[in-house]
Amino acid sequence: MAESPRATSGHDRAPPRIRVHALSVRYGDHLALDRVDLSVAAGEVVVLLGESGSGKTTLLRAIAGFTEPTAGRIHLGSTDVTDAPPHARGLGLVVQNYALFPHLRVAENVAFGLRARKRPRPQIERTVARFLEMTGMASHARRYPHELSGGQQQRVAIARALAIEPPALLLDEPLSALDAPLRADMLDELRRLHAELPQTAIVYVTHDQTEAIAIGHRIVLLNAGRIVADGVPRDLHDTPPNRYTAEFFGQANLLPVRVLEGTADARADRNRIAARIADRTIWARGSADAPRSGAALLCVRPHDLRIEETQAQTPDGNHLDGIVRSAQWLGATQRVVVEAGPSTIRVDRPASEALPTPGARVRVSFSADCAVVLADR
Amino acid sequence: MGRAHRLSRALVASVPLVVLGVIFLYPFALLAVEAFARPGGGYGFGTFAAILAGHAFRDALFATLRIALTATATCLVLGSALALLIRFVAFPGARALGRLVDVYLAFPSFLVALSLTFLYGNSGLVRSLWTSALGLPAVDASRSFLYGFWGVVLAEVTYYTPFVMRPVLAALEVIDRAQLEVASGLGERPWGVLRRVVFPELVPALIAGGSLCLLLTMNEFGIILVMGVKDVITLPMMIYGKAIDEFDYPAASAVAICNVALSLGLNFTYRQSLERAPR
Repeated sequence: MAESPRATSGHDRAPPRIRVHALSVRYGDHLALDRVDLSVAAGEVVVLLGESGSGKTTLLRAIAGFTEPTAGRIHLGSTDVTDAPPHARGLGLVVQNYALFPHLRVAENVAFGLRARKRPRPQIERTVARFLEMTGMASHARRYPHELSGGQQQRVAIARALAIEPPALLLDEPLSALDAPLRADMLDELRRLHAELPQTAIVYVTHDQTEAIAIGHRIVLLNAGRIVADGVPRDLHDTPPNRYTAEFFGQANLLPVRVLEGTADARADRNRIAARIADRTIWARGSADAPRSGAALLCVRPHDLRIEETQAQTPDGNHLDGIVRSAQWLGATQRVVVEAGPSTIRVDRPASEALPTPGARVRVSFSADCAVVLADR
Repeated sequence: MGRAHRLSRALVASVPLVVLGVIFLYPFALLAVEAFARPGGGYGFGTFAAILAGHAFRDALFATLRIALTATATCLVLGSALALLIRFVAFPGARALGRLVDVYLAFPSFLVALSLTFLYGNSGLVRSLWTSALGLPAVDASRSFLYGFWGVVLAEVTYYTPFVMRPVLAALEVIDRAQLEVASGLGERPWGVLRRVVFPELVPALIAGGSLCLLLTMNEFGIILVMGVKDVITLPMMIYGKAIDEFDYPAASAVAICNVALSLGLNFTYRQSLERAPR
């Protein structure tokens, strides 16, 4: 499993900031988290990604201390905090609806955690000023929350969480209440803040894969209370370990294939697997636990496919012949749907190319580097 | 059509005014006339001066304020505590208890007084247990705490506490749980969260509930009458005494005018403070 470069450089001996071991959470009959393991190093940004009900928020709330685990342990640094109340854990928390204290001014909101810790007044003032400056809210210090826009409120919420200088910052869908352009700005802002506080570990919960890819050093994908994938965003995208991951990231085409036994590593230079689809043999990379024979899935992203003349030569001989079902112009790209035997294939092409006519016979080709064979589960 | 329409509108609008005049303003005017009338004819402040100068009025005013303030303060503390328990301590039946508060508000106040006399009164449950079950010497009934200041306060607290609980529960309902979680995540202990986050957001509800309590306890009459308290004379009791026992209508009217002025003043202060309360 890949680690972020920041996490491994120079902190090898320090215990991880957060370590979750075999954590389960049960609500009545419903198992919200099923023996989950997670480790977050200093300076690392880990995204907990999943649909609603996947257990991502439950995991975050268990780390924060608001949800009592049924089994398993949680460590912060070298301290076991499984049974510690939230106020004893010292983690910064930012939630979707900001949850600013409405009766307190911006500066008082940011000072809240420091006052709870009984810090001396001059120190509180210095720290509050520093974090208001860092989040660009210094000029709004005397305002009340209801006088601020959503984006400004979220900046204050982030400043308030950072002011206690927590070892780890927990963000629960922090941008979901903002509209799209503002969300992109805030993502940039979060990345910049993290660059200023490179030691702070961040656990970021979201259901949005774009956000996850934009901010995560590592993405932990959850489904039905279990971790289904854990890795660097690029790896999860390019070489998804399983069907769920492939579908979650970027609407991959998943075509049923039969792996030809004994073809793994057949070409000595690269890890290549041969598989049968329709009446053709195609070549693709294999994911970590791809089956060595029998039924599997071929995963190809829509933008990695090309549409060619029916007689065109293709590298690796990787192609499928089919009939164009539909072709739609989408601005920057066009989406072509091709029916090839039992499979329906989505192809995204640059809008500059000529739009194919529905009913036309075409050849869909792809490079073996862009195709991955993975287990069907 | 336009004129007929305007006429019918004017008629409709005048109905509530006429009703208000007949059932509220007219009796009130009679009261004022009675209070300001001189015995020999004409009007003046004679009756007022006599009443205000007397010990009886000052004692009654003092007793009224003392009971109302003590009862209101107790209601605020008890009502907030109960509302917090119902909202935050997940005990079985908490929600049902919250709804019961609404039902309780519909009870007449003297029923509470009556039930208290069954409990603590002359032949009440506590007294019979005291003498028969515990074999202790009988205590003079008239010296039961129920027949004095604390009895009235107890009865009023029992009856008016829900008047504080209702708005406090409503205010607690709209406090975002995420705020409480963020506060404890920031390192604040449960008491600190209560003091620094919950309480400030309850201030408008406490002002509303407390003012209502103060207003109602100042004008409380049924409880004191039903309990038959001898030595506690409040303004409403004084009005009752003057009018019914002594047939001194001018004096009763003068005291009533003072009572109304006190209530209106309080109502005004309450509205002012509610407007200034933080949102």
